[in-house]
Amino acid sequence: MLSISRSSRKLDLNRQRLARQVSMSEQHPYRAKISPVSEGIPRPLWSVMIPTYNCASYLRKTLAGVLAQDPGPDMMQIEVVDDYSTQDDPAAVVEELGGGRVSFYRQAQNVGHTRNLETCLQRSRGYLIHLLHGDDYVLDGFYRKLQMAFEQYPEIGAAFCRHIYMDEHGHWQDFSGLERHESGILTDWLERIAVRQRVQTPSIAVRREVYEKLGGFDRRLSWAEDWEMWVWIAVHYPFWYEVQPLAAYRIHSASNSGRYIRTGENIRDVRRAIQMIRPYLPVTTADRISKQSREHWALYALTLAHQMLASGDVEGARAQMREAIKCRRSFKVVVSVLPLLLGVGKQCTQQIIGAGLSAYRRKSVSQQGSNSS
Amino acid sequence: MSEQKSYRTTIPPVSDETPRPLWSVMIPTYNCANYLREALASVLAQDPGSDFMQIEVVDDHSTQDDPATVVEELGQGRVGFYRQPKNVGYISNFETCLKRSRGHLIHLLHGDDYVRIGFYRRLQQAFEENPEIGAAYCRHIIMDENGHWQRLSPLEQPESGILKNGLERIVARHPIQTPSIVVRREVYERLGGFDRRMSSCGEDWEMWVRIATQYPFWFEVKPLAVYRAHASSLSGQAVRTGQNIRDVCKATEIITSYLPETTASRLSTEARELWAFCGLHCAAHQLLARHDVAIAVVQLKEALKCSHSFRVIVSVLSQLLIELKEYWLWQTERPEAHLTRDADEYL
Repeated sequence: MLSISRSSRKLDLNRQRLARQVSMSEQHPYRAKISPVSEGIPRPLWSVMIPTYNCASYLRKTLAGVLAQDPGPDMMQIEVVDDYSTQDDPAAVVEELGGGRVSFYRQAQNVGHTRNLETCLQRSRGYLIHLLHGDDYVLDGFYRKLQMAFEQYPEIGAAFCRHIYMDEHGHWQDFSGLERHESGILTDWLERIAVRQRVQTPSIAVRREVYEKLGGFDRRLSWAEDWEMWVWIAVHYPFWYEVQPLAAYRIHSASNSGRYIRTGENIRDVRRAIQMIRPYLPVTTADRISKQSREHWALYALTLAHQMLASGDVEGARAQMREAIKCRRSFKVVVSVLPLLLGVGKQCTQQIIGAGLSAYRRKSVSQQGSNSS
Repeated sequence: MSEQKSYRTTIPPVSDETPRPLWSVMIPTYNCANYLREALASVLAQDPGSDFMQIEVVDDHSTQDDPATVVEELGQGRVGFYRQPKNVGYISNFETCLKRSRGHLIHLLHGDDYVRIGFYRRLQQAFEENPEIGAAYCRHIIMDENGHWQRLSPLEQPESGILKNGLERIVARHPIQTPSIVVRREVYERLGGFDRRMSSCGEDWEMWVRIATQYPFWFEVKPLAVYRAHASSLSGQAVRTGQNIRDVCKATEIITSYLPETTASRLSTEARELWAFCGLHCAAHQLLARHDVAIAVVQLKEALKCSHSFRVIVSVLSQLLIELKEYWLWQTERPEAHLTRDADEYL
């Protein structure tokens, strides 16, 4: 009896705390304010907002995937929001495939990924927002299935489907984990999504009123902003899950990755996100979940380190190892670092020997040159 | 290779008067009527018409369900149905499929698998553009009993085309599941059907290897076939007794006899290693996921019997270590290893 009343009191406290957080978020300096659509503006059911940046070659497939299931302009807004691409011409692709059906907005200057997402949210007019990166795509049935979920369950804030991971060339690599065996509302969802990223952006649709109430993506984040957003929504709303893989998400190989991964900034961003997420969680489980999350991301960083080492990027591998250790120093993480350290040592030695050898060769060649002259 | 063998059937050519469609989609079934609906629907969705495609279900005397009803309901007269007068076993049922086929290209589609849109179009194009190929197969998706996709078969090469080092790959990697492959009928006519000396598995692999020794293969990069892996196949009679590993070892012996002399010994060593790994993998799975020590021991024993070279024992041990390490590492929250999203793209 005592324990029940104690736990219900805890729950109450938690709810009050969360209510405070929501009211805080309304003036949250780091989240974009998403204003309601003004009256008089026609509102379709769907807003498919497509952020792009130098990915026009992939955009064709993205647009084709949406247009193949287009229910018409009264039902769906489709808009490409380009973050001032410099290396290609998304407008031409939009014109060619859209034929006037797809609108195009170009930022006046490059604003960065998270800000471009904000613009997408602000320019949307529909009730359900689908943010579909210009290098991902959806499969037939995506809009129909998710629409049914939102119609059937007015209480859900977001719905997402299982997704496919593909490589740079569009070859499918793997499927995201199956969250439950039949489509439906997820249980224990906050506890699960708070541990790691389980939802890639092209697979999820969110009610516009959710963004209006909770704000947009947190601008302090630039790599984990989507994950933090889904957790933030999960604190307030149930999520619906579709078992069919109806969205394809493109991943870029570690060997071909940019500054974020090479410098370890990705994991630093994740650590910031973990700190932000912690106060969203019920006090009783926050510690455990935070620890699990750190462990997960540390092992994730080590997986990246492995891949980078395999492709000869010692610098990047070291950055990931360093961040992994900063993220969590458990026995498991430390033990998993050891073989990597050996690998780094081996490659460094090889590089030093290689550099020495080539210097020696250059020297002997130049000596031969001077001898012969 | 074309001579009469007691352990494999001869596929006679189709008689001259019989009308011949391009395709024969032959669907063997045995107590899988509930899955058959999906298999048939997937074929009918890409049906080019009865002049171009024979579609026939060949039932091995199912006792627990009624495939004929499903065929009638979905096929509406379009799909043929043949029922064995008594249960003949799956390899003999395959033979019946081959013999009853009339088309030029044979697709054996198990009644619990299915194909995706584009399968027949893409593979047909491959056969039309490459008259020299004997078979064409596509990448495939492996699903569980409930139809949930689990994983993909490896991408053998980045672009569709003639499979490079086809024979070696097929011997050493076993990249083909039956629903993903289409074979010219004349190839079966020349090389014979499946080998009955195997009884639980390995007969498909032996068949593809036998074909690959004589013909080039085509590989399609798109995953257009979906293969069902049954959990029961990991605990069934064949696994319990180790018959699965004995069968694939037998198959390895058989292929060694006709592999080109220069590569025979190397390839058969690689094949034995592959099967030893399979046995080991199965053993590890039994230990870790099902806690069934008896099966694990049987599998391990058969694996080592199949191949016990020093190299294999070492790799067997290191494989076991890796499996244990992975199991231990990923117990809590397995990272989806390839999530290397690069925000730089957007910055």
